[in-house]
Amino acid sequence: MTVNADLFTIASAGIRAQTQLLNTTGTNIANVNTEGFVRQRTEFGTEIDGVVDRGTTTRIFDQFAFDQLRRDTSFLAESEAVSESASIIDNVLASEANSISGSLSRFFESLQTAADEPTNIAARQLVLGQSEALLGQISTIEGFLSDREGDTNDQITNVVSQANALIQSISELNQEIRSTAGISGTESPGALLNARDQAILDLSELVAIETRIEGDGTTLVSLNTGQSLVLQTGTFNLFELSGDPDIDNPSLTLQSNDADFAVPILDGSAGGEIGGLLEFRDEVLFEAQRDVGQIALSLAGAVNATNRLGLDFDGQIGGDIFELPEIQGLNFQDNSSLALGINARFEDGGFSDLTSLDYQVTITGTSAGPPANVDIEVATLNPDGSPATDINGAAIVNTFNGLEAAAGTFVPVIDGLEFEFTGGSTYAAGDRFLFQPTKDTASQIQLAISRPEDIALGSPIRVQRDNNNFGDASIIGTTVTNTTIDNTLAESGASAFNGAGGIQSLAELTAAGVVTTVGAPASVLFTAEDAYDVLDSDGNVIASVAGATDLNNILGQATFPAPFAALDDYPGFDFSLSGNPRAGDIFTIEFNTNGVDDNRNGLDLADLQNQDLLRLNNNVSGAQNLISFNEAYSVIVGDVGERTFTADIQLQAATALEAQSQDRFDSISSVSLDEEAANLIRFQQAYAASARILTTAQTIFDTLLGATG
Amino acid sequence: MTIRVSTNQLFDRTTDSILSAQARLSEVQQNVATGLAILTPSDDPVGAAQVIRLTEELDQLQQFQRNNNLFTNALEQEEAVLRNVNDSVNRARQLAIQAGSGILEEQDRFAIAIELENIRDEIFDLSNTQNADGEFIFAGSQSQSPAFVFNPSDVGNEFQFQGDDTVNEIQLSDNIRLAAGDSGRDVFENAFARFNTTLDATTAASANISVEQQAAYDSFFEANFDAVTAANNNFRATINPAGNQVDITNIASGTTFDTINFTSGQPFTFAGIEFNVSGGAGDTVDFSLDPPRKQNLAQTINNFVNILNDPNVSAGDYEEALNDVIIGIDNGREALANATSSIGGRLNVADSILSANLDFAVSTETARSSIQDIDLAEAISELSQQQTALEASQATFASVTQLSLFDFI
Repeated sequence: MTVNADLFTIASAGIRAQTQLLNTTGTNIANVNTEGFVRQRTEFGTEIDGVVDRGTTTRIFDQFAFDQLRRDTSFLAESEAVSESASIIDNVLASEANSISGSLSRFFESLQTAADEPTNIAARQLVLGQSEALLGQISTIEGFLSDREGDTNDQITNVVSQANALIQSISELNQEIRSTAGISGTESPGALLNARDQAILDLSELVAIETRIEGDGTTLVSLNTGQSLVLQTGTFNLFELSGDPDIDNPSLTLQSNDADFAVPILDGSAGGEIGGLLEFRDEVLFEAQRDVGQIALSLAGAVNATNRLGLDFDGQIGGDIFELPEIQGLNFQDNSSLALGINARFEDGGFSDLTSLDYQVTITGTSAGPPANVDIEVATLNPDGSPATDINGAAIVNTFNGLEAAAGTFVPVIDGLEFEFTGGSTYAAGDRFLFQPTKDTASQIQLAISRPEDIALGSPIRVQRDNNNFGDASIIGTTVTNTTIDNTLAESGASAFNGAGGIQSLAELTAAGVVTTVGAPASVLFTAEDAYDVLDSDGNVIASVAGATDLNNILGQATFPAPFAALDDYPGFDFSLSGNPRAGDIFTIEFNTNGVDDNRNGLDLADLQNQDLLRLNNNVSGAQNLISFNEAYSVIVGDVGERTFTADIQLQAATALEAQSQDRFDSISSVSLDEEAANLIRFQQAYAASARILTTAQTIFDTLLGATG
Repeated sequence: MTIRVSTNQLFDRTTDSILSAQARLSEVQQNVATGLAILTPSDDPVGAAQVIRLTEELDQLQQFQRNNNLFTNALEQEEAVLRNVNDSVNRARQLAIQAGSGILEEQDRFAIAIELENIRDEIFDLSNTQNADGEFIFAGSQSQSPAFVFNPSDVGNEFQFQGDDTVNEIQLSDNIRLAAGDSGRDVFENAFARFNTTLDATTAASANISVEQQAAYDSFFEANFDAVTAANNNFRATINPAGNQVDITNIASGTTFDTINFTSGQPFTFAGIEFNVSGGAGDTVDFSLDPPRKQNLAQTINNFVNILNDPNVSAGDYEEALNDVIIGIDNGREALANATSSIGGRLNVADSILSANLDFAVSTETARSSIQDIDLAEAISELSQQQTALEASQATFASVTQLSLFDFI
């Protein structure tokens, strides 16, 4: 049989207990708006003698609900970062005022207007103005994108240092929780746990993490991908940002606190705000930057190549309209010498080979020569730094051996790029250089001409039907494919133009040291309806054609003798006839001296707008893979729009998920004022009742005293 | 379904619904204000890319229409010039026929010569027409110098073309470019002078030849003229030993073309050439085909004017000159007619391209509008719907959050 405690003890314990309950309720009410506060509940038991025990106050906390909330928080923060950043670009690309597309159209319109009236200098001037406007527009877009790049990197740096501070504070809070838990009999340290859990939630907003609860109340934190952030022993690892070779674009690594090694973290896997920012930077921003660059460089290259085939207003063969920049390779930190470098530039006429990829050049061997040469391996990289793959999924790596290495010598290597190995043979095997040809280079494109006369609207060649031709054949078209001037014919790309407003004569070629008995084609004499001789300016027969089935590419049908046969594209021009020539008919080919009112090349320049000249897929080559410049821009806008659209959808999903898990967590752990109001009344009444027990005990005692006294 | 609703939840839920209602309302409001369904590319990435391409197409179409105007203006100017030239040439032909009537005095011929001189100068002027920019429209690419020059010292060749055959084309649609002019050579000079023959040598007592039946001669000329080997153009008429026939042979090949009855002093005709030969057996008459020669209209008239002004011209030469000028003018008129009809053809094509481009612009505009523009009725009803939703959220916020148990204790 149990012996009940006396009424006084029961009453005072009761009053204490109700006070405690009122305290807990008070705490809950007071902290209703405290971030990270988890509502508390005090529970009592009854001791063997019927007295209410000391009770325990615990947090109403569901670890599963919290873990879910943490994961959804990471997802939401990541989605928010991508969506917000992407929508800024999206907005800019959309605005009519910033669109490259409009500038492109106006540029080509101006070319067409100039081609309509080749002698109208004002129309030519307009082409210069529109070229400048186009370059300015491209620079603006590129500048905007590179500002975004800087902002994003600053943001990443900020967020990473926040994350590091949180990691440190979680570790410290863990330590305190452990030491408090060690003191037996004390209540669980609710405030510390709240602070720690809030820090974990904050960290999960920055980066996706996993947690493990230890027996002593501490929580270990690791990245999604397994690397530890907060360890058991009270140690922790911090993030570090390092950029090699591009210091402006750091990637994320984890630096161990005690051991000296860094673990690289794949940028796409970080999650949270950090992951979102990296994803935006590497997949949206970097790609857009390079795509814009590719359009600008490819367009400038195409315009240059076409202009070089024409005749300008001054009667000279056209030159470059745009000046393309040279690019310096970025040194990797572990290269044998940081003083060594490789430069690159864009190959003339290589505009359709240009990609938006990056290139990592690794020296695999050198030879002192002379001439000095190097062996290299070129790995192509996607904008995010991952290896580019071919259509079968294999990484694209090309090997080039025995490339001449000398300052001033540019060797064509890959995708329309030429490299200059300024270090000669002093490179060490394993030295690596990174090239980003299309990133931030478009704004360096300059106008190479300042005179409207330099726009080559005419063709350097005219073919004339002899006035007394008996046949009715007429010229239906001339083409010019090569205007490279080299009267020595040493260069395999040499053309028949002599660089002095004419076509090479026998005397000129002989004077330049060429062993030949004939000069360049200057006329065509029909010897029968389907046979003709190609003659030089002195009337010597260069080649004869018999049995011609059509009259297209008259010169192309002829077989040129040595030394012309060895050249790539000689004479560099051709013409086609229609109608019926008769024996004795003569067609003369001459330099288009004074041919100012000629728009044949101007039409070709304007037609670049409709030509498919830009490489779409980096890992495929060939004509089917080419698209027009304007289409390429619409692809960028579509791509960024698509990314933003996807990010928006993901954000909506993440928001809904996070709201749901926040709701669940709040439903368990958050304070309800109505509930607490009810508790307040309940506990107040219990308090009054407990107090009544005491007065009753007092009355009983007094009664007893009175009866005996 | 959670049973317990905490105070935070109560506030969070209601504010969330107000915020999202506001965001939706603001977007619809922007749609209505701008009239655009695509505010940013992410609203419709595929549509946005399409809009860019369609806009480019529209810009191009506008440029094509500008090109078309320029093209039409240039050709209409040329057409007007050619019409004037044609009128003048017709008058010149009348005068030439009048000059051949045979009853004219020397004074009459001088008078005709004066009028022809004026016509010649007019044609020369018209062939050097300049456009509004001062470019010589018939000079090809060398449009800053006149197409034709007059060089009085080069007798028989005073009017020379010094331009070239380059003719600028103008882009009228994506795939169609048409020549916005013609070379002066084609218009004024693509006319053969009368094909003729020359008496080279003869052993006969007297011989002269002239082309009397031009059509017959022309067809013989077409078939037998050899531009490569000049010697193949030399023919010989040989009187046979009997003295009653002539054999016509090609000197180089020896081929006999014809054998014709012959009586000394009586004319005979071979291939439209009339021979007047007095001679006997074994006599030969060597003649050759003159190389074909193109001659511009001004030159043709000028040559005739020179003859008209020459008081000592022989009847034979006068007749030859008359034949030359009439055939030269006829050939020239044919070249003019070809050029004029080609201009008309091109103008027709340009006109149909113009209307095709207009149609195309309308359909492109419609396509673009259907992608990027909003349906206003739909958008406005959406706007009021979102407005109602926001008002409802705001109203519930007030009623839900004002309930507190504390108010009752």
